[in-house]
Amino acid sequence: MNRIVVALACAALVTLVSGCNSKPQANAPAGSKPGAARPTERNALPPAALKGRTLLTKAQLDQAMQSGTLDRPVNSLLTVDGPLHFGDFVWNDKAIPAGPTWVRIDLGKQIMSVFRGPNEIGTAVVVYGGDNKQTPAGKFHILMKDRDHRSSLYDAAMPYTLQLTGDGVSIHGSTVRWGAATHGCIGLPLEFARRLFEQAKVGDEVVIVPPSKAGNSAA
Amino acid sequence: MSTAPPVQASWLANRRAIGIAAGIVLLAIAAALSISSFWRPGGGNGVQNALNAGANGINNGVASALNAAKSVADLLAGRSPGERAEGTLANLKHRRLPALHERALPKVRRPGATSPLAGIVGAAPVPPAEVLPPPPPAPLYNVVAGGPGAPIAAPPPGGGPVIFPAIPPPPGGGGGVIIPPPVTTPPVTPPVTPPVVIPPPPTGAVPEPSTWAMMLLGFAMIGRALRTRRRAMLQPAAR
Repeated sequence: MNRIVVALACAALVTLVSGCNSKPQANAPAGSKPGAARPTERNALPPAALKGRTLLTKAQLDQAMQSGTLDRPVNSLLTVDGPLHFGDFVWNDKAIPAGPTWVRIDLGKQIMSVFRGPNEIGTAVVVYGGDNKQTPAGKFHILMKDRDHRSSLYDAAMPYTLQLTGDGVSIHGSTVRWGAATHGCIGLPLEFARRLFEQAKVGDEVVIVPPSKAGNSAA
Repeated sequence: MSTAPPVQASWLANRRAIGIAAGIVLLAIAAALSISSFWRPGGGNGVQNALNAGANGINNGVASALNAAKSVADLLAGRSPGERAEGTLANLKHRRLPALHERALPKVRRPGATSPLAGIVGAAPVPPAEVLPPPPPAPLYNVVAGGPGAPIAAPPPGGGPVIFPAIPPPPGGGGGVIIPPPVTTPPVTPPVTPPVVIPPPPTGAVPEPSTWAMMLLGFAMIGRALRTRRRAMLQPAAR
């Protein structure tokens, strides 16, 4: 009897240790269903990049493309536990392969997502234009970068400016706090703005999703 | 009855064996985790990192499994701090300073016309302005509001501040008349604009006596009303 108990304990121990050692391998297919077929290029993330990242299944991606949430294929999103607070951000580009940078800004959710290719590398809470000075929605390209820009119109510092429109709507570092708004720009936490400034280039695409209006969603 | 003691003995033996096995398992888990943490190139803090890694692995697995069941919109919405109900503008930036040309004192480009910047800057139109009192011995000029063509050459006795009429300095007709005083000093050409223009003073912090009187009167009336009302309410109760 004692031998049986000890043998069972050893078997459990071996199983546990092997499970601990095979953590990355066990984590790799965590976001994917075994039966779901995925394009090969979307599975090209190295194991080191999988930590803190949620791989999208094909069903998720198809649903997002059909509903208009995404306008292009996305491989992975950052795993964020719970709502971010104002001023919080997550940046994780570890082992993410090179690719074109593009930015998605959801004004209604007050969330920015920075992508490198099909993988999200950063997300943050943003502030946007007030009711009198609304932030335009649509697709824009970064027209100009200025690390230490100062607004001639508002006589205010706009660090790490990425200008989007000819009339000055930009993405820049700002004070991000609850209830605040801008004159049409997108305000980011300063450190996040610095990282985005280092990442983005002139010509990169920025997609600004307008806040959904009740009643207009069906139209 | 004779078989009961051996059962108890074997049960105790099994319990002891289970305890020993559990101890071995725990020690082995700790050893395995610490060894695996030392094997990792970046593992610095031994067991703590290993435990964190194990916990993260479990959490990541659970989170990934849960996230796989959510839509992308739900995943993005889950990190949102919430929608903004009403945007408050201009809470972020500093208050806009007036431009350089707006910081200058208002000027009158045409006689009789108010400054176009009056509504922007928020100052009074232009000149109802005060002119600093000229030195008493030899005032340069005196202005007296009178009818058209009614020059009064007498200087004001007190030498107090002289108020311009509401019409800007170059008299448009019907306003005051500027007459240089008869002085022996060489004639001084009166300037077109007042030499020193002081913007209208802000409202004083101390109320005027009439305001005090009105306030005291109001308090007195309120007190009287309260007293009469209270008296009227107490009278029936007293009966």
